Formats: sequence, C-alpha cells, structure tokens
Amino acid sequence: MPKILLLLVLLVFTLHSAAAQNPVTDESLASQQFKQQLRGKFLQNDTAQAIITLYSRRQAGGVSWMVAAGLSALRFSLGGGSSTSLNTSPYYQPSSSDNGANVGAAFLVATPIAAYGLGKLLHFSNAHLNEVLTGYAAGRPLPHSLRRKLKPRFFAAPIVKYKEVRIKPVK
Amino acid sequence: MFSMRWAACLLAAFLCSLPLAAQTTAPPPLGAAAADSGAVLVFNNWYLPRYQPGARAGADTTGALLSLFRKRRYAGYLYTIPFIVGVSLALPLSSTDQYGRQHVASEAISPPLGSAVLAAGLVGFIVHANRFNKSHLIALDRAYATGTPIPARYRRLLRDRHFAEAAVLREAIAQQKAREQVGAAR
Repeated sequence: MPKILLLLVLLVFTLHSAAAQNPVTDESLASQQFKQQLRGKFLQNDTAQAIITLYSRRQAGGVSWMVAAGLSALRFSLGGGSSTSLNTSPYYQPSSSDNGANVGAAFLVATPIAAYGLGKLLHFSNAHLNEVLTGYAAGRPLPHSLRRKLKPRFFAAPIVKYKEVRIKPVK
Repeated sequence: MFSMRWAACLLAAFLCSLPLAAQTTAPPPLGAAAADSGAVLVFNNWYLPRYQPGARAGADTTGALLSLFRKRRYAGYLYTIPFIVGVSLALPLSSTDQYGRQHVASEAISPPLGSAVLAAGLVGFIVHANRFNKSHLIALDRAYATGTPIPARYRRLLRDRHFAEAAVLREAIAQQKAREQVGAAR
C-alpha cells in the first residue's frame, strides 16, 4: 500500500510540474497582472521586455527546483517501497534493517535543492524586478550581472504566442 | 459477457457526453464565418473569438470559456489516480525485498472493487474529455456569436477567476500585437 501512496504523490507532483510549464495557469493571477502592468509601461522597450521575460523564466525555474526538492525528499523519506515478504520457508528470518526509508538522507538531499530554488525565487522576485526597471527608467545602467544574463532568446520571446484565424468567404 | 457489458458501458458514456454536435447543427469549418475576423488561436491552437470591451459588449464570456476549458482539460490528468488505484486493487501486487528478490502476492486486494473503480474512472474520463474538447469550444463560441446563450451546464462552471484570466490573456495579445505593429513600421 505505501508503494501506491508513493506513486500517487509522485503523480501529483509530476502533474504540478507539467502544469508549471504552462505560463498562464501556473503563475498567480496577481503576479501575472503585475508583470503585465510593467510590460505595458515599457511596451516598446525591447530591453525591458527581455528583462521581464528573464525574470518570469527564472521564477518558473525556482518553482521547479522547489518541486524537485519536495519530490526527492518524498522519495528518500518513504524509502524503496514496502518489503512485504510472503516467504514462508522455515529458514526465512525477518531482518531488522529498514527498507531504505531515511529521513536524514531526505533532509540532506532536499535542503540544497530547495535552497537553490528558494534563492532563485528571492533573487528574481517581482519586487526586485520592479526595482531594476525603475532604475533603468531613471537612466541608471543595468547591473553587470543582469546584463550578462540577457541572452538573444529573451529578446526574441513574444509576450504571448498567437495565430490569426484565416478568414475564408462563405459560399 | 463481461467484455460486452464493458463495451456497452463505454458506448453509453460516449453517447452521453456528445454535447453539442448532436443537439445543434454542425458548426461551420474554422475560418468560414465573418465572426472569425479578429479571432486567434492561442497556446495549443485553442480558438479565441474577437472581443471588444465596451458598455454594450457585456462580460468576456468567450474568453472565460477558453480559460475554463483549458483548466478542466489539464485537470483531466487526475483521472490517472483512479486508474492506478483500480489497477492496484484489481491485480496482484509485487514487491521486492531487501535481497532484490521479487515476490508477487498470491491474490489481489479486491478485484471487484478494483474493476469497479477502474470502470468508473474510465467512463468518467471519457465523459470529461468529450465535454471539454476544442471542437466543442468552437461550437459554443460560434453559437454564442449568433445569439444562442451558453448552455447552463457550461455557464454554471464559469467563475470570476476565469474572467480575470481571460482579461490577462486579451491584454497580453493586445500588447504583443502593438509591439508587432511598431516593429513592422520600423
């Protein structure tokens, strides 16, 4: 039964991370609206748009690292599944060793992963984004660490991908 | 006998879940009507009709419907949970002991309960997937454009958050269009 439970929990987490790839449903509505306001303020500024894109990608990355930490913690703390042995032979001796469940290992493995994700979330927070863009609007040069991270792919990314429906005349 | 019952069950579920195709006339092909001017396909080719906010326009029902359909569609993955539970109850479980030997349980936990869960989950999934598919959304949007109200069974699922998400999406498309226009003019 613990194996089934483990499977179910894994499934839920996998689904969550699958949904995280979808930019519209995962991010909270308030955060989406905040970024949209900023985008509207700097609508024709490619650099500002790229910075906003960079921040939203890094935020999504931070969330995935946190999910990964949760997953690995679960995997380690629940162990390698149940070891219900049906062995009825007289030579069979129940062993005293556990089945691989190890809370200490879970903590050791998950903490750095979670810390990395949390660091991303804190460093690329919406408040920090607002600060950077306010400084940029005031004419201050972008920090070198941020300039270094602005890659062409962030400039090429559209705000939202869409296709026009082509209209055919009704006969 | 058992498989016949299964097939009948599945067929019934499928028939129950055919929402609009059977009730209204078949929708015109995509891009055939004048209502399509300004309509776009977003994300995984979901149909979003034009909407102009104004005093007389009312709420953005078509946008909210798109948000509702996509959310429900994603949630369909949750039907794997009754599937796993059903399979685990209906079939004997195997486990590996600490020496790496595999043991298969001599009997399943509860085959009747397991197959009932499995069947219910499968039927539920078929109904769900039929209810929230892209062509039904197009049919709803087309009917709505001609003045037919949204059927109550979809309308009562609409919440404020669907309208809020639709507003964000509309604004994002407007921003992207504005950027493209200026980019083309340069």
